[in-house]
Amino acid sequence: MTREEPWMELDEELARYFRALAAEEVPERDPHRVQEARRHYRAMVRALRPPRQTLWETWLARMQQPALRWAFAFVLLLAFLFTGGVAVVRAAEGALPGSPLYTVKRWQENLLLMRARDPRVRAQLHQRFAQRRIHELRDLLARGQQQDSLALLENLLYHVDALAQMAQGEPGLSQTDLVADMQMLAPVVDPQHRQALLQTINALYEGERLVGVLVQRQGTEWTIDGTQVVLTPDTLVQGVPRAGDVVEVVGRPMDDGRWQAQWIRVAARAEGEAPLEISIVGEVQRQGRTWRIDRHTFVLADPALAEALTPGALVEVHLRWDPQAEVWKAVKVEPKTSYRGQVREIYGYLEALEPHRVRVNGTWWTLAPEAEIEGPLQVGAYVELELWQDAQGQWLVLEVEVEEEEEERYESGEHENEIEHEEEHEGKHEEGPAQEELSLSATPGDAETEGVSEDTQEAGSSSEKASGDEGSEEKNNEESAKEEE
Amino acid sequence: MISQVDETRLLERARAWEEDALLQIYDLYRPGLYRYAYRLLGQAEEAEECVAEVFARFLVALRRGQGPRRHLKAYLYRMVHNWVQDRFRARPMDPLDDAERTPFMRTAGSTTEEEAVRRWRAERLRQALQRLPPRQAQVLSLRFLQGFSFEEIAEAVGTSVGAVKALQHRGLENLRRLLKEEDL
Repeated sequence: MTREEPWMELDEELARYFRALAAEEVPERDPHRVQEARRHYRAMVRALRPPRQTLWETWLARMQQPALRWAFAFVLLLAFLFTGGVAVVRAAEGALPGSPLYTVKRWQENLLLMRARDPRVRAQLHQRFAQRRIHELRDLLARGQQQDSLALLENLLYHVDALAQMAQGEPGLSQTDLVADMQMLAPVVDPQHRQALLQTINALYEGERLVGVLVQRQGTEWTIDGTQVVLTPDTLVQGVPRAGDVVEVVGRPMDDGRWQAQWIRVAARAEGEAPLEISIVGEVQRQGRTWRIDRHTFVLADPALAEALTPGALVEVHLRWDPQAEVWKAVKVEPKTSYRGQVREIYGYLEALEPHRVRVNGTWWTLAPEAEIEGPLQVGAYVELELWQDAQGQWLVLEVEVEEEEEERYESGEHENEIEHEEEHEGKHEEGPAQEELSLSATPGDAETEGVSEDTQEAGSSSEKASGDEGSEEKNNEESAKEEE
Repeated sequence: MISQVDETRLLERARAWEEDALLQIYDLYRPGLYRYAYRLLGQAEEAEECVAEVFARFLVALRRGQGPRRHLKAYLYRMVHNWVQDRFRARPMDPLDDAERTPFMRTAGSTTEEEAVRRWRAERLRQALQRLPPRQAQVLSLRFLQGFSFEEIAEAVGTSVGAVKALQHRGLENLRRLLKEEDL
């Protein structure tokens, strides 16, 4: 078919337009770029090549007949029992590659997979074994034993692949933990395997795609080209998308027009970006060469920083994003005192002040070494104390904040209680419509009180239809007026 | 041109992850896809990016056991079209961006005025196609810019031949209307 034929279906005017566009000469492509693009494509073909299955795995996959599988499993089981296999299997559970028991461990996994007929059980097994490979990989990489890591990674991808296939028919099957673990592994494996790992992670997601410019990030609500995208605790964010970046979102549109994101990655960076730095506080965990605080995984810019990072310790870490390596790097570490247990806040007048403690409501409270003090602290000030309980059960002050006395107390509702208490004490508390009484009780003449009175009367006149916040504001004004009186 | 049978065989080999077959697909379809992307986008850089991304997605789809089992060509052209649509949605094309586009190449023997008129028509049509509903734009682009048959378009769009003809009819109606608008 020639290109002229379809144009016969067009009128002369439209044909002119299409001829004009079709006649547009496509510029010569830069031969160097052509070669580069082809090389990149070939590299991707190789990086994504399905993991080579071992002879055992191939044979296992082909052995479809349940009777044959059961017979084989039975024979193996008998063999194990007669040779004290149970003890060996148990001993092999913690074995690492290189150990003679490691083969037994993998045999046992294959045996379990072969016996499992229920797809959910099989999926759970694949998930469990994938987790095992991740732990083994971490151990190996931490010891600097790179030589066995390739085989482990291939086996990991084999399990993840199987899991992904099963998950297509099982929407409830959660792979979030597995994917999170794999993401943590990504910075420490070599670039070629990292690519395969990231592709596998991406392949686990099955949503629709949205590509656009990230306009705004506001907590868990992001705006991407006019579309509101909601992040859930399970949403995985690859890299650090910032306003202006072109991002790719995998997720699903919701009924209200917003999108729920499963996975977000940076497709193209905005130009002229400044280095990105954040600081996080939390308990640090070590995983081989990577470290983790909450959901942040990072490596060290300087190995000497490891001295300040004791696993389990509470630290503040300053992280800088390395866009080339796509990893956070710790540039500064500051120890923090470890706090556990509940947090609470108390309000009261500051009765006494010493370098390391304060007295509020008749009790001495010890200040934490890094306690923050906001506002000029003077005896008699009305303050809010933020308290944390340490591991020994002692309450420590993390933050002292000088309150704008009345306003803050009204907002916190504490004042309301005090007023009620006062009213009860003075015998003035009456049931029934107190609004009129209160609005009339304001003293005329005083500017502030007058304002309150007017407000109160106005609110009172519409009290029947007022509700919610308006109602509580009205009540506060009334109480304020009464207090003035 | 590759026959449908050969294409299906090639695709089977690609699904078995034979590197030769995957590279053959790349070499076979990349030039055409690039031209198609360029005509829709009008920018060489973006067309390069589009084709690279389409092949990357194609590999990922195959790796996940998805992607086409036949009609590979139609599948790849559909991917290009989807990519272009996504791009327009993400960054609506500014009509004033002409200066940034690759300079239009003058064909031999044409005068400057002819060239200017042709360039104006090409750009106007490109913008009008962007404003059409995606499926109508896809049908018209494949039919009149790539010379696809109705059957091939039906495969690419994922619908019947009858529906393609209806889409073409409606698309041409809309296109006529859009091209008459002065403020395109």
